[in-house]
Amino acid sequence: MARGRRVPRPALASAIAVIVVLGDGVPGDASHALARGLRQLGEEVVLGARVTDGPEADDIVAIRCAMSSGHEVAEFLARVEAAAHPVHAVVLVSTGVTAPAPGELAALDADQWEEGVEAPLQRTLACFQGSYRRLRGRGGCLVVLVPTMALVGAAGGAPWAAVAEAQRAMAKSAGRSWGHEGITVNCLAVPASLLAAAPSAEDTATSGGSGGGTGLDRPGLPPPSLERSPTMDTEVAPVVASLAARAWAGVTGATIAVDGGIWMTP
Amino acid sequence: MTGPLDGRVVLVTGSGAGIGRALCLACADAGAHVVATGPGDNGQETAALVAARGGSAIFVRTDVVVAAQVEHAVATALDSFGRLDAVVHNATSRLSSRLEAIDDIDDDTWADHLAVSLRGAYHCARSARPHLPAGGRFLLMTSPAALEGSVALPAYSAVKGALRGMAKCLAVEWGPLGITVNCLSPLAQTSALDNAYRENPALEPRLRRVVPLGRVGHPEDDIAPAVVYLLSDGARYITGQTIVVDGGRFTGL
Repeated sequence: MARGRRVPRPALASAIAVIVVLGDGVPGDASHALARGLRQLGEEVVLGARVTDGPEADDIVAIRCAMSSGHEVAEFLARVEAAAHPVHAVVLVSTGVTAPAPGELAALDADQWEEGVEAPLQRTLACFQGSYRRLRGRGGCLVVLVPTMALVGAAGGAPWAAVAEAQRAMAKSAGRSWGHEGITVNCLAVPASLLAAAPSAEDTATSGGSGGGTGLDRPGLPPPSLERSPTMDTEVAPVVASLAARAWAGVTGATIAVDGGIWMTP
Repeated sequence: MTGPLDGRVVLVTGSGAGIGRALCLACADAGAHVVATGPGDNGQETAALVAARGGSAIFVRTDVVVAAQVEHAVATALDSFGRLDAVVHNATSRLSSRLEAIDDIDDDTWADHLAVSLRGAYHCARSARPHLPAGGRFLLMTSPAALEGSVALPAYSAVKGALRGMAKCLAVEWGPLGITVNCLSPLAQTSALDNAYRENPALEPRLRRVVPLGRVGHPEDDIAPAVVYLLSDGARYITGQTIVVDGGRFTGL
C-alpha cells in the first residue's frame, strides 16, 4: 500500500480482542473487568488467554491463545472473527506479577526471570506480529495497557517494568512502522494495582529484604488529583473504546496516563 | 594528580569496541581500576590500550548471557582490586545493528536481544548488588531508539526500553542502600549507525540537521565523559534517570 494513504476503519459490526500477555486471564481479574466495561459500552469483545477456552463465568467469550508465534496470534484473531465480527482493535493487557510476586531483582532466580520477563516478552512480540498481520490492509488499532509503575519505578517492580517498557518502546516502533497502513498503536498507563492481582500480606512480608521495600506503587505518593483511582470497567474501558474510534485516528505512539492524575509524567 | 574516579573499581560489559572501549579508556583516565569484560579477544585489546596509556585494567572473558561468567567477573574484580564500585552494562546483541521490520523479527533474533541486553543486565544486577557499597553505581546503556521507537531496529529498541524500566525500579529499590541506578542514552558514531548509513544514505545528512549541535557524538570525546561524571561523586544525587547525551537530538522530556 502506498505510504500516506489512510485506510478507513470499520465503523460498525466490529470486535475488540483483548489478549492477556502477562497473567492468566481468569474471571475476576483486570482483563475480565476491561472486557465487561467494553461490553457495557456496546462493544463486542473476545478475550484471548493462554489457559482458558469457551464462555467464562461472567459470560465473556474467551478463546485460547498461546501466543507462541505471530502466526498463532493471527490465527487466534481469525477465530475471533469467525465467532464474532472483524477485529478493529487489539488490546494487550498484563494482569500482574502473581508469579513471581514483587520482590528484589537480585533475589529472583533464573526460572522466575524467564517466567516473569522473557516469556511475556516472547508473547508480546507474537501479539504485535499477529495483530499486524490481521489488521494490515484494513487498518485498526493496537492498545497496550501498562502499569504506571513502569514509567516511574517501584521497588520490586523491575521484572514487570522491564516488560512494560519494552512493550512501550515496541509500541512506538510499531506506531512509526504501521501508520501508513492506517494502524495506530498507543499505550495506556494505569495504576499497577488496577492491573495486578494484589500481593498477599505474606508475599509482602517475605519479599522485603534490605532494599527499599517492595510493592506496586511508590510509598508516600499524594492522593490522585481527581480524588479517586480509576476503575477498569467504568474509566479505563471507555478510553480504550475511544482509542479504537475514528476520533483518535491521528494519534499513534503515544502513552496516555489514566491514573487519576498522580504522576503527570512529561 | 587525582581523577574523579580515583581508586574506584568499574566493571564494564561489552568493552571490546565502540562505546564500551571508550568508557574503559575514559574511566581509567579518570583514575579507576577497570574490569573490561566481553566474550571475545577484543576486550583484551581494550585492557592493553588502557595499560598503554598508564591506566589500570584487567580483562575478564565474560559472556553476560551466562550467569556464572558474570559472577566470575565480579569475583575477579573483588579478588584483584578488593572492591567493586560501579557496573556499566553496555553489552548488546551482535544482531543489534541488523535492520529489520517488526514483522520480520524471528525467534532467534528476539531471543538473542533479550539474552544479551536484558538477561545480561539481570545477571549484572544479581551478581553485583551484594558487593556494591553505599555510593555505588549501576549504569545501563540505553538508546535513542528506546525513547522514540525505531522502524529499522525494533528489537533493539524494545530491549533498550526494557532496561529503562528496570533502571527506574532498581533506583527505587536500591536507593536506601545508597546505590544509584541510571540509564544513559547516547547518540554516537557506532557500527550500528554506520550500518544504518549504508542502508539509508539520507540518514547522515538528516541527522546533522536534526541534531542541534550538528553532529553525531564521538564515543570517547562526547559520550564517555558523561559516563565518568555519572560514576563520580558529583552525580551522587542523580538516580532513576535516563541521561540523554545526544547533542540535543531528543528534547521530549
